[in-house]
Amino acid sequence: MESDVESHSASKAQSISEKKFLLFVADILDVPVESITLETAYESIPEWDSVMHLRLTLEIGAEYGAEIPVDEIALVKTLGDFYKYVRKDII
Amino acid sequence: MQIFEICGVKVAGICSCLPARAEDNYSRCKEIFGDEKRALSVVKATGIKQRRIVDAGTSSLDLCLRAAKGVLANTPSQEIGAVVFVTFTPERMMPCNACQAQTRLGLSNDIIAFDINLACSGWAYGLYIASMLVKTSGKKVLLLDGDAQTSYVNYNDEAVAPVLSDAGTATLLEKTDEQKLWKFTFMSSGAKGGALTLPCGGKISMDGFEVFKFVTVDVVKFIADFMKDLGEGASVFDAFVPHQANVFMIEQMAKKLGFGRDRLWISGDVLGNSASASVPTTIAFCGKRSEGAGKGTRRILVSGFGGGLSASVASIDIADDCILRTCEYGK
Repeated sequence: MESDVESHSASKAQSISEKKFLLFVADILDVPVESITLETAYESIPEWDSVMHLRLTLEIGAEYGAEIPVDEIALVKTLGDFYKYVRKDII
Repeated sequence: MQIFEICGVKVAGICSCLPARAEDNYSRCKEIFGDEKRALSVVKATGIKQRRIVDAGTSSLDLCLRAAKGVLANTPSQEIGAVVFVTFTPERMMPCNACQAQTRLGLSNDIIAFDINLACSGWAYGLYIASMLVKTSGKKVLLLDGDAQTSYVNYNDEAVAPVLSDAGTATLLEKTDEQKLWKFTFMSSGAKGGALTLPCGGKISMDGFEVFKFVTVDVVKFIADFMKDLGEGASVFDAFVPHQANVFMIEQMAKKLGFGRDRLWISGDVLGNSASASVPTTIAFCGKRSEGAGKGTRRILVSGFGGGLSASVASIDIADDCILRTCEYGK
């Protein structure tokens, strides 16, 4: 039971973080938060081009302290991929 | 990886000539993108606040000839044995820029003069070829490297217009008894050539993400492999001078390669991306006031990467007593 509570709390924390993360990203992309999810991929919305990809890397790094090695930046394909670096740093 | 070595050649001087017209990148981005937030975003992501742009009618040859005067002041013309001109935007397809430089600088008819058609990777290619000519001729060699590339930019192209700028440079090379070894290596990836093109009669077009991937994955590994091949880490170099493609990107690249911000030379934030001229421009711009000046000779790692797609990296030396100068064209 206890572990269920912990698990529920962890899941809630994660979900809030995801929501916060998407709000943060939506603001950078200048799109409604409802229009993006962690599955949203590079170039699936016109706002996310190569320059914006760099901006996201830069802003996510500054906001969450998420260090993405330079040779991994181009391998990030979805917002979920960015989020993995954020979670890695939070955990 | 092929390593090419040159010994007994030194840089006598580097001069960079910048168009006097400085364009504020934020203002230009507002015009391109039509909104302030997006413009700010682009300036932040590229790290480029200002770029230098030629006026209509000014060519790569004009800029480089002015730069040449900055390094040839005390050099009698008969001491020059060759002119090598790196450019992908020559004043004319024919005659080549190098032959026009030969006559306009009053150099002997009895010299080698030719162009090398390369974009952002070009300076180290030119440096290697020009150094070989110093060795074989025993004379001084003038390496000119410059582009008036903004003349080939579609004004509203979101990928290239906020980044590209113009510059012309001159590097004077001469023989020396010092036995410092310069090392070079080069990479050609022609299959990816479509990612960055300038068709005859057309405009520059770039697949930003493909070029970005090439630089951040292939080129970073290429430079790291070069250092590994040399058996030397970043700590032996006084500075890393990469092509000024994008300030944020080269900062990340330097970090990955082990260079702290204090040993990364940057001019792109205020001068933009001037293709292959960006490396000698950065040396001329940062060299005088950088850390390590005053210790005699500084060892620097230079790298260019871009159109081709191609890349170059070299370990070279710059003596403190060599001429490092910038000047402006149009003033």
